[in-house]
Amino acid sequence: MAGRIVADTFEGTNSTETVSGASVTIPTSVGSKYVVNGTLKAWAATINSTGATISNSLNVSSKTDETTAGQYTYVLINNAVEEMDSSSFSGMAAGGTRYLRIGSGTTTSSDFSVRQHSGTSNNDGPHGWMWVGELA
Amino acid sequence: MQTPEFQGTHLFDRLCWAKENLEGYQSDYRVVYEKSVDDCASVLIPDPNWMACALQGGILPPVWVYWELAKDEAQPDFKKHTRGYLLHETEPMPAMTEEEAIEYLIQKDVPQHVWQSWNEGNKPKMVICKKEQLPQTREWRNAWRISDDLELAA
Repeated sequence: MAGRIVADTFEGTNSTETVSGASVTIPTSVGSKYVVNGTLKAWAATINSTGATISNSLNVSSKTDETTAGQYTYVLINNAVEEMDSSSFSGMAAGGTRYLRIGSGTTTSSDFSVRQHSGTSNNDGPHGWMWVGELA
Repeated sequence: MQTPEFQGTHLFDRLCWAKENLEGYQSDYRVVYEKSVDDCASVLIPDPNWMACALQGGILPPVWVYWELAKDEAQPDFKKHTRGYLLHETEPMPAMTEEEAIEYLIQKDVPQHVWQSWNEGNKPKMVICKKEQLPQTREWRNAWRISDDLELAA
């Protein structure tokens, strides 16, 4: 790699804001562990109307269009250190009343299943997700 | 572009390098498989950034590394991986052709019980095809199956 910074803390210049007439100092230092643990370790998005492609991603090797509509499995390239649902996901689905959820009970350190719903039914469609956690 | 010497570099750092330096490659290949006789077909789609890494070479670990981690994870007392170093310290794979990359991906991401016995039984339970060979609409998606009349390429 071209360069390397070794640091336990990143620190900038503190700023000051006035809150309810009082001066409040806003700290701008952060430990490197906060940065490492708070950084996205995987994400993927599809803009295809069927949801059956990957438009862009990081740390994803494949997506499987599963047995029912709106059901997909994603696999990581760099495994998580533990089951992925031990840490946090976020995701969104395009279209009114649509939402994503994790298919519970099927998560491992390398793959997880996504369900895309519209109300109580499953639906294909564009969606995206991101995962924050610790890598193996 | 020359891949840096990555053996010993954290795999995630390699993926970030690839994201910055390689253009994603959308493969037309799809892997269709049935997990059991009662399941309809699943369709595996290669990730474009992963495929770029596979074609480039020097980035991805050998597939056996994933098998080792899967063995660890299958232990009843598994909590966290302790052999993640295999991902980072094993000599990376050289550049693959698109077809070799698909074979690697099958062994990584398709359930082992499917690809290890894909051609046993009354009909194949896994096929590699082009996306144009899939049904063009998703009508009756839950009824998709691998055809009984499939003619296998030699």
